[in-house]
Amino acid sequence: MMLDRFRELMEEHQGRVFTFACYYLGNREEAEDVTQEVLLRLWRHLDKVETETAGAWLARVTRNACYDHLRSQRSRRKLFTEGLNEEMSTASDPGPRPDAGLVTWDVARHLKRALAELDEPYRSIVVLREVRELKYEEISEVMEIPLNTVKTYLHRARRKLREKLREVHCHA
Amino acid sequence: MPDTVKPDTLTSHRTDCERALAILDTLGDAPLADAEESLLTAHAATCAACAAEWALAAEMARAFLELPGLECPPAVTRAVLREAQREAEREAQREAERREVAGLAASGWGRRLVRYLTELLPGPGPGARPSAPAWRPLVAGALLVALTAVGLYYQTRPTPPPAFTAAEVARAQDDLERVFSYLGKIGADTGVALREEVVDHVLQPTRRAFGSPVATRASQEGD
Repeated sequence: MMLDRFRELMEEHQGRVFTFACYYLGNREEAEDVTQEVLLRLWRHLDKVETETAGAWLARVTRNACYDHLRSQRSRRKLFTEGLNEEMSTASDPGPRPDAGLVTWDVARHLKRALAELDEPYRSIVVLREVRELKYEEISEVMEIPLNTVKTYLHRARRKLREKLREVHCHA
Repeated sequence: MPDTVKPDTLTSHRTDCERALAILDTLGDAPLADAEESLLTAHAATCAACAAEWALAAEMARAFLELPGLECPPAVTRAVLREAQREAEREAQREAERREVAGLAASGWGRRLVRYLTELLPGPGPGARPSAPAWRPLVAGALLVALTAVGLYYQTRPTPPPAFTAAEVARAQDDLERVFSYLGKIGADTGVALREEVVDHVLQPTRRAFGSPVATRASQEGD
């Protein structure tokens, strides 16, 4: 039954889809909308999506949906300039681990903000690599760019993120 | 001169920084190799900027590792499942309707038509339907196919050009008469006669469309 297969796939992947959307968009409500859209797209293309490749397919569709969502949002107002909405950065986080120092926790908060300010394709690549923990090859497949380009972009993105963190650190 | 930095030292220092930064860019992919770590350590001991960058890169890599994976909100899951269920039901309904129509066409009309045609074919006589020879349904089927083919041909054949009514022809004639009388008037005023071949050239398509009467009259008018 199609619906049963869909339910299984959804249970397996929905968390990853939502996590990517949340870190990419930096906004929980918008991430929910995009997640819903992506999962419904999975349902509508279920006959063309194989179970083994569903993860990669969803990663690509989620990334594209997030990107389209951002592009359609010309007035990004508070979203990126004033940072993440608080709900995402506090309510959805379990909080700092007991062994994590205060400095690390601050870096995490600033990191999410810096991530949301990062341009494309850097942001997608960082989220796919650091949050989704995809391999270079998988990122290359999802983004449809050569492997070496993935490496170059990721290294450049990390450097940009460090620059942003350093700025915050200096201002602080 | 203790404050002077030799150019080659500066170049070497800059290269070391670049190398260190390149290593820091990979931090988070895999643990540093021994050679990389010792290069970084040695360089960080002499370069405060790179030492700070190393600390920041390490913090960042750690922070990424600690970013939590998020749970998809149950409301989203519920909404998606509800919509999928609704679409599945709609599709099932559409499919049932399609099957019903196809079934009707195949089992009802088609069979009924073949039976009807079979009965139309000449047989041994009235009342002989149940024992009709086996070739009759075949011939009826062939007839059905032939009829379908004829129908298809008539539906898809190119449409002939529209026939003109007498009123349309008369109107065209009037128009042409007016044009040529006007041209004749211009010719009379200017003393330039309209050349025959020009008239012919103008009238050719009209002749083709309406037939010769128009052309004859128009040509006469042109003369």
